[in-house]
Amino acid sequence: MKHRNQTAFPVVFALVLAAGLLIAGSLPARTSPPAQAAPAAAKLTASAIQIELLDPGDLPIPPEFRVAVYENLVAQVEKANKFQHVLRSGNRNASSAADLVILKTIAQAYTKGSQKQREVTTVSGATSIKIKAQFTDRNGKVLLEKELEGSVRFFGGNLNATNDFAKKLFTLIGETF
Amino acid sequence: MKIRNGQLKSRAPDHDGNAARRFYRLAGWLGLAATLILIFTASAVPAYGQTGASTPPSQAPPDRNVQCVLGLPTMRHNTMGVLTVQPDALQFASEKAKAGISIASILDLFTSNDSKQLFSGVGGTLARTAVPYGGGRVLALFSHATEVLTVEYKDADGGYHGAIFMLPKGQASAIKAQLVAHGAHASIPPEAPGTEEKKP
Repeated sequence: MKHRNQTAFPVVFALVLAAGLLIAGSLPARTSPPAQAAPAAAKLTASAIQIELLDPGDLPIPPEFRVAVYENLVAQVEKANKFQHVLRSGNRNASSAADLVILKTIAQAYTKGSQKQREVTTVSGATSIKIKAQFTDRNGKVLLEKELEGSVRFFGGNLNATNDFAKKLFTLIGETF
Repeated sequence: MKIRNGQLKSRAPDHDGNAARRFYRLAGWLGLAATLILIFTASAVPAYGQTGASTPPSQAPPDRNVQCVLGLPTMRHNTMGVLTVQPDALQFASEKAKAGISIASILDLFTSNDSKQLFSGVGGTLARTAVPYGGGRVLALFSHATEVLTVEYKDADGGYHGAIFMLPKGQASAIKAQLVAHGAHASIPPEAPGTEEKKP
């Protein structure tokens, strides 16, 4: 028994050492990404934002849907409280705003669902809209671009998809500004 | 005779059975006809109400079943109230507040006849799911007799706004026609009143 213990000890010791080395080797790899990501996460600053109308592209987005996207977007940007001035598209004061970013939204995909179908089947009829949100400066230089999706799958009217999208943009603004 | 008696005895219940069958068949047809009449009258009433209004639409009594879904600055989302066309403005009045859109500031107007099921809240959905034996799902098939009016307008600084109203079926087109008559801009002209009158 003693002999067995004596031979087993170096084996166990070697295994523990190897495991320790492996963990130590993987640690720098794990810790390095946040160190590299830190400069990328530098927040943007602006005192004013102008929100442009949704560009539907070639997609058959109904007017009420476009309006709902816009109004929910304005409401969420105001709620984020990151800008002194939230200006709507066409606002004349935008030209005199010193530190202005422009938020453009471009529709990428749109699936017209049906509330009726959702209520009857509960599994189909989801409405979804995929929109590219683009923050640019006054000269059109893109500062940030991200694709977000708003959808309504179970409860509520189709327009709730626009609110879902606006809430995601609210989170994005919180992370970016 | 025994056979005849037997036949006679066996025929008598057949007569009763046939009569009962006829009665049930007739009752079934009557029930079906009554259901169809109910469905047709329910769906036709708004249409007749609309076409029968030979008086100008502006003189029609205001409907309190208009929902301001969003877009009026002083109104909370989904507020119920009255939507009226004034000579210079589109006015929405709830029990607590009033808001108006100047006709001169209107950029565009849209009605939506085919997006009846765009709106309705979680409350209505939950209420429908509460109906036993899946009755709510059947109810959902008939519960969207609404029309949407979208108004795009600009504020004093030139900023874009959009307001969405949900009205009983047929009223959005009437309001759009009134607004256009008062000088509001609409990229898609309102339906001619004659087109609706042709409906039976």
